[in-house]
Amino acid sequence: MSITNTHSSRGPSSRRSPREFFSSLRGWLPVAPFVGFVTVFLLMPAAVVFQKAFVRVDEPTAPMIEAITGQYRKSFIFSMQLSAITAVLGVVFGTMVAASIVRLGHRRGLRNAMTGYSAVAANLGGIPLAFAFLAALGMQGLLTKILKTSGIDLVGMGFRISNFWGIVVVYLYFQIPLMTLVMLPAIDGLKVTWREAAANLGAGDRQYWRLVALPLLLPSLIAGFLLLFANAFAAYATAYALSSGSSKLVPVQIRFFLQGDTITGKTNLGYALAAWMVIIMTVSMTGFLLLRRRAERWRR
Amino acid sequence: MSSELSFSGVRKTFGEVVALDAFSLDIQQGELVTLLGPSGCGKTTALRVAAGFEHADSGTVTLKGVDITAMPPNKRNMGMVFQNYSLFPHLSVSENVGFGLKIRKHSADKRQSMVDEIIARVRLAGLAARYPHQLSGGQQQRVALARALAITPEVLLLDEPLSALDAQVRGELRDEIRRVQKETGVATLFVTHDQDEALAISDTICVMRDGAIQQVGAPRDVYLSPATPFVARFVGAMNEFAGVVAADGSLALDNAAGSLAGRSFGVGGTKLTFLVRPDDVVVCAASEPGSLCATVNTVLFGGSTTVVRVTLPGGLMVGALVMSRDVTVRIDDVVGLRIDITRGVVAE
Amino acid sequence: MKRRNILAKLVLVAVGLFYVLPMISMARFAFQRVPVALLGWNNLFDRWTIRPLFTMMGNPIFQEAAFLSVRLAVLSAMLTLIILVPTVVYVHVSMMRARALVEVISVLPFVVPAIALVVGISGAFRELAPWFIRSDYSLVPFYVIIALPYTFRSIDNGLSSIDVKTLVDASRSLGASWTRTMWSVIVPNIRVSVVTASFLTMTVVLGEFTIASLLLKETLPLILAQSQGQDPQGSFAVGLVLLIMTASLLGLANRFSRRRNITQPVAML
Repeated sequence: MSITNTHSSRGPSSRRSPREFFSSLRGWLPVAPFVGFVTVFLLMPAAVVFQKAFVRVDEPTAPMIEAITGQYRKSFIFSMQLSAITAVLGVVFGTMVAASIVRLGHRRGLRNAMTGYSAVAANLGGIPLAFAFLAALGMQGLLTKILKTSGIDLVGMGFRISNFWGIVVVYLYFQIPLMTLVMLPAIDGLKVTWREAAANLGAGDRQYWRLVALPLLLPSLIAGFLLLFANAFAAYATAYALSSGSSKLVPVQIRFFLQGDTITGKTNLGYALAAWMVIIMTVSMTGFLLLRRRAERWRR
Repeated sequence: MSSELSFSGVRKTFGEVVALDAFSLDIQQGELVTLLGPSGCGKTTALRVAAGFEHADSGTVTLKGVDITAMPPNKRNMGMVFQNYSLFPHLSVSENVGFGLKIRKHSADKRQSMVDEIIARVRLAGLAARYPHQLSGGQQQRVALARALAITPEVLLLDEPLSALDAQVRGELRDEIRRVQKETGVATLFVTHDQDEALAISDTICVMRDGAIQQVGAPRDVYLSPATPFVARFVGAMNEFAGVVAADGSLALDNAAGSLAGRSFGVGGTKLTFLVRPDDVVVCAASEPGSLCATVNTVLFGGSTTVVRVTLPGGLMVGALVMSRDVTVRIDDVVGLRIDITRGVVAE
Repeated sequence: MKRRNILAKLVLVAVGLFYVLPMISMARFAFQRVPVALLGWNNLFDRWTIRPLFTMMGNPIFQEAAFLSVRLAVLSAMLTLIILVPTVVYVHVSMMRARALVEVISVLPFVVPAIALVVGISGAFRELAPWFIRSDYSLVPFYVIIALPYTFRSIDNGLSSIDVKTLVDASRSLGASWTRTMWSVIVPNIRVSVVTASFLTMTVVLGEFTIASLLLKETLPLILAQSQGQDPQGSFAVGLVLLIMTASLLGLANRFSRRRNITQPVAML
């Protein structure tokens, strides 16, 4: 076989002989271990989730339907609300941060530091992050106390770190940097020439934003929203730690179906919940990837 | 005849750097003026001051007699073609071309007909629905040109529009720009560092260096009668004859390569360099009286013309431009050189 | 213009505070033996001690968990490289058409969140191979999967930026064997990507809670969560150290990538 494959040399009308077919198959062979690995450890468990989710065990309705009606309906709504709100807030603040970084971009060091930190913060989550916010804004939190002495009584106002708005604040800790990372290339990609061309053709500031900048940023904004939504929806560890395992969120609810490494209970509801999560993630992530590709095309 | 666009004593600095110094230039209606010079000479700055993207520190810019020095760029009604990346990627070709018309609130019908007309003019009919990323570089610049012309600007500004294109496309588009400019009769300011482009396309060339104008004139004049050594060297190729002026005014070349007689080069003892174009150097027989003695080093065939490079005693290399069909010499032949000393520029 | 600059600075300062204050609170809680209720300006700097950290670290349960996590981190990093590097190198050198497929596959882990994956793992392996998930090391392949989107991007970018195909052609034309080419030409040039991918995997492992807790493997994050009740200061102290370590690993990975001008995989968006 050649060092560098030139499969493209085959003409369009030639029919492949069996030998050619097998030799082209052989080309895919070295990729097989990778594909096999992912199949066994990712696709197979995912397939099992879906397979079991559609099998009725002991109840009148299919688990998939049962999962989104009845008592779990509230969980889905709660999760969606939380994800949507942290996504929207993340989009707004993240974009502001990205815009600020670009505006002050002449100082290279600042930009690198902020980008680097955003990359780190976007992946922080889980137990330590929950701890940090418990220490800051929990009932015995440092900031809670500081705010109290300044006159703002968070506890009195009903704010709890384990409640909806508490979790929102914590989630924003990684949502904002994530959005910053999405928007930085997008805002950077707004070439100066476009602004100048627009002005040259007669557009004022507002017209430029309305007719050029906003349409160009929109795919990235929506992509960012979808990414943040998916990110928040899937989060387990942080929610678990903040609420000590008793949250209404879907990921934490799934936990009750798992005792150790066994699926408990007679129903396949747990599988259904997980299956719905995968569906929601698939839709969001697909939307994100498609929109990102559109935005990248323009950036070239 | 009052000029369309006029710079008067414009000065622009960026921190310590003086980009434009006492820049004064007039562009008439229908005229294509090229700002030519190496990078950093201020030509792009001048263009951007005209467009309104840079503010002059002092001096004025006038459009049809009106002082526009402080006018914001979106009010100037000038069309600009940028070097690259200026088309709005989210808009189709027609939408790009019609952008300025939309801003000016023309009705959709009127817009469409104007857009169609200008797209046909730049010969892009049929591509109106495409998007920029589906077009080649040359096509994109045509769209940019159409877009700039659609608003019927007072002045057309072109900032090195051909620099980012392939050589082949560059020539075609260059002629295209000139054709459209002549058809529409719009006053045009063209910026480039490529002297071939400048010579081919312009009514007037303005050679710039370090923020100042070296020479303004028709291409022919700039080429055949360069005003300064810089212009002579920048526009077209130059042979350099370094030497010392003899007592009788002739130039004794360094390394005893010979002597250039027939005119007075100045005061005896002065060191100077005499610049002569290869077009003004003739290869003749070695025995011809008054000719310099040289050996043929290389013969570079270039199609209709050939450059014959010879070496003088002492090592000086001189190039002579000869019509290819008249070339009779070969490498290592000993030949004579006749210099037309009535043409050429004296440099220090 | 200036007004916008001030606004930009304000935004960054505000966000900076938001990022930093929780960490400070965490440090204060962990290392200061003064309950929040009694905290005032006068005793702000009293009774700071690093003791809670050592108490926790001296706890044998903690030590076992920490060692387990480290072992898992190293093994996961190694497995990642073993699976990924040959595959991606092969794709770049011989079969670029497969790259799109491999890229899509590498993004799939995003679509199956950890919690859903655990459900699937339970269902699948319990029936087919219960011995597998009984072992602590069963976490390793799943950690490789979770880190896959980032690690693939890292190696892929590294190979793209060095035009590996040309290098391989040059090396082979000079007479080197495949193995020689791999070790002497390819690997040295993707050192940065390999290191980055390893750091990324280890970061993922050290922070991963979901799968570990639901498969009842006593890793470091799990012990932290469990200790919250018994030894709050200690667990917070270790949590802080873990955060700093993770952040440093990622920061280093970023710094490496930037110096070699490779697109940062954690900033892959």
